[in-house]
Amino acid sequence: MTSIFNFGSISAKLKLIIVGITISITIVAFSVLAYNQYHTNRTDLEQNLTVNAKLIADYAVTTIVFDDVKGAEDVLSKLDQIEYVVSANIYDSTGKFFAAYRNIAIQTSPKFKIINFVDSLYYENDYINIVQNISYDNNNYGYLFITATTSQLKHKLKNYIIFLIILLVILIVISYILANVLQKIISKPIKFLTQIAEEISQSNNYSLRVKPQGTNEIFSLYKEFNNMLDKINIHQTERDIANKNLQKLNSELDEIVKNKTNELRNALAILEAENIERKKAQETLSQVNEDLRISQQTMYDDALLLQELNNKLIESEEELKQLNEMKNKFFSIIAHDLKNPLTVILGSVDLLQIYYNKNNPEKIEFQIQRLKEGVLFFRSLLSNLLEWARAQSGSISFKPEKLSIPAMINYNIQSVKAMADSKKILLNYLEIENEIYVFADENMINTVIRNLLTNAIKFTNENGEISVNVYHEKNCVSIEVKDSGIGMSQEDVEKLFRIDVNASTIGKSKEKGTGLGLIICKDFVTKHKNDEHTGNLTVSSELNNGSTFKFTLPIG
Amino acid sequence: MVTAIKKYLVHIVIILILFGFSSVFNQKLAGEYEIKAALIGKFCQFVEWSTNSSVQDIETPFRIAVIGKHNFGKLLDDLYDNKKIKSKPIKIIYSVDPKKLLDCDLVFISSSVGSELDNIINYYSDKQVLMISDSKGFAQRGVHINLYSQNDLIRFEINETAVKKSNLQMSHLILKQAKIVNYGEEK
Repeated sequence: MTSIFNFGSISAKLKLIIVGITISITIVAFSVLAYNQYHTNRTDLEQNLTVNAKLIADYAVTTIVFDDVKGAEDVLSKLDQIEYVVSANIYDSTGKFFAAYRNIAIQTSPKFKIINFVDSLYYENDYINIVQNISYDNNNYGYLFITATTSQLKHKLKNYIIFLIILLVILIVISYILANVLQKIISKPIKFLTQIAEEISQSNNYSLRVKPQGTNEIFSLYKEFNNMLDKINIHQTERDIANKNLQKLNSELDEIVKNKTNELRNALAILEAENIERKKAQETLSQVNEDLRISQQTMYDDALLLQELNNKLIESEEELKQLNEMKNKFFSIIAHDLKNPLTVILGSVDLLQIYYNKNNPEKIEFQIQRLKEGVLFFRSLLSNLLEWARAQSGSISFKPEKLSIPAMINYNIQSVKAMADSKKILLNYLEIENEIYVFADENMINTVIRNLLTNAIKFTNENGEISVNVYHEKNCVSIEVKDSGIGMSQEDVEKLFRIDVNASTIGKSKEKGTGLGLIICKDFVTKHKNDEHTGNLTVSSELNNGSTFKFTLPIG
Repeated sequence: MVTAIKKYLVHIVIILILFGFSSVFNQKLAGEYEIKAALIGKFCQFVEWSTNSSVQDIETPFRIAVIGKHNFGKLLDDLYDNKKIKSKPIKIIYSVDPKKLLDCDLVFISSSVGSELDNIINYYSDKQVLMISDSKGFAQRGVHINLYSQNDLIRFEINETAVKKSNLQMSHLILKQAKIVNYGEEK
């Protein structure tokens, strides 16, 4: 709001305020007056018309009753006195036209029709219509319909507004003149004060004073202005003194600052020297820390190594323990197995002695044969045991070379053929055309093939059948020895390669086995292990349904 | 047969008069006496009988008496049959002998009783009986309303003094419509 008045001098503002208020109030007041005038005129017109309509209707009763049209027209002609009535009609009680009146002074007379035969007053365009019941003694005889123009009403209002506008202009002029004169009462002393203030600010002469007049706010303003000047004067003097003191203090302060700066500079040099030493010490400390950390790490690594070694020792101790136990068991078995043929041999020697005394040559020969068999078995047992012991101690050297498998199989089949023929067992080996080479130790593989074949013959009934197959498998060569023998239970299969539980089995023609053969075979095959495919010896067997031994060797 | 047709025609004319479809003043359309018969009833609308009058007695009918020789024939009987004046049924009574005056609320004095007029007026003037005639000069002698012809129209004159004397209240509207006469005025 105040920003609107940020223009011109105080005089202009005061004039504007006075004239503005005058115009605003006058316009509001004149608007109310104009509206009131219009409303009053309109009400007057309506009342006048209503009263006249009632009078005319009264007089028209008998004209209708006695069918006196001329009388009715005479009655209506009284409306001549009302200049704004345009026309009037009388209708009888059935709504039929009875008499009419036209104001000849008004040229244009619109023809409105009676809308509803009830007492009413309504405006249509620039005209007012009034319907008045013509009745007497509660009997209705007809209707009076008067049309009047409202143009006079508007004309009157227009004149009134023109009058008000002229009055408004006059009031504005008067208010401007008065404002011009009256604003000086307020603006003059303020202007004077402004002038003095400007003079003081330009000359810095605070000894100037204004002369207070009257008793109002302006007097107080002048007085306070003088007081303010007095105070400014005092403050000016005080300020000068303070300035001088300040200057003195400043120079002293400068000196102190200079001294302190020097002191600080020295202190800083000392601190810097200390700092360098501290840094050196810190570096040494860091080095020591790093060394400590490294030695700690080494200790930790050693501890881990020790732990690992310890674990290995424990494992190896456990393994040794198991091996020892195994060895003890093995020795007890071997001792038992060695004892049996010796008992047989001893028995035969006793019988030989008896038969020798009785001079029974047939039985002597028989016992000699048994004695021979016993000794041979004993030798075979010992040779197997020896071979296994050599293998365990590592005194058998493992020298793999490129070998032809079919040739080796043929050689071994030939060496056991007599044994098979004695049991009328058919040995099948379908020799393939292409040579199959393996990379293996010849002695070991011969031992394995021979052992598997003699085992098969041992556990196959007379007139049985044994077949040998050789074929390539993934990254290896498989050799399979299959018999139609007695087979084994799953339990026996699981014990087959375990030295601690192994026990010799009697063959189908009462051949005796040491039980060591298969263990030696397993050891020799395992020595050929290059990967997961090679160096495996597996057994598949079913009781009374034959057995199949298969071992794999690396391709030569 | 002819009488029946005539009666029928009269009915039509009366209905037309009552509903305002035809001007009662138009003598070319209806007979003079038909208009006069209708006017008798219309005058009653603008006249008030005081409280001690028999008109206020709802037990008795509104009696219209015709004195002397008249030309209404059966017009009055036909016109006011089953009609009401002042909310009462209407009874029409006739007396040809002017000396034999009948108690009534409205009396039509025919021109034939001129010699007995003063007696008749005297008889009825203080009895709140509206006197109507159709003879020149009768109003000036004391009859309240007298019908007369002017320019082929039937008009009426009223002796206002006589009306006031009779205690009958007559509306200013009918007075404005009528020609006002007084006792003994120039005929």
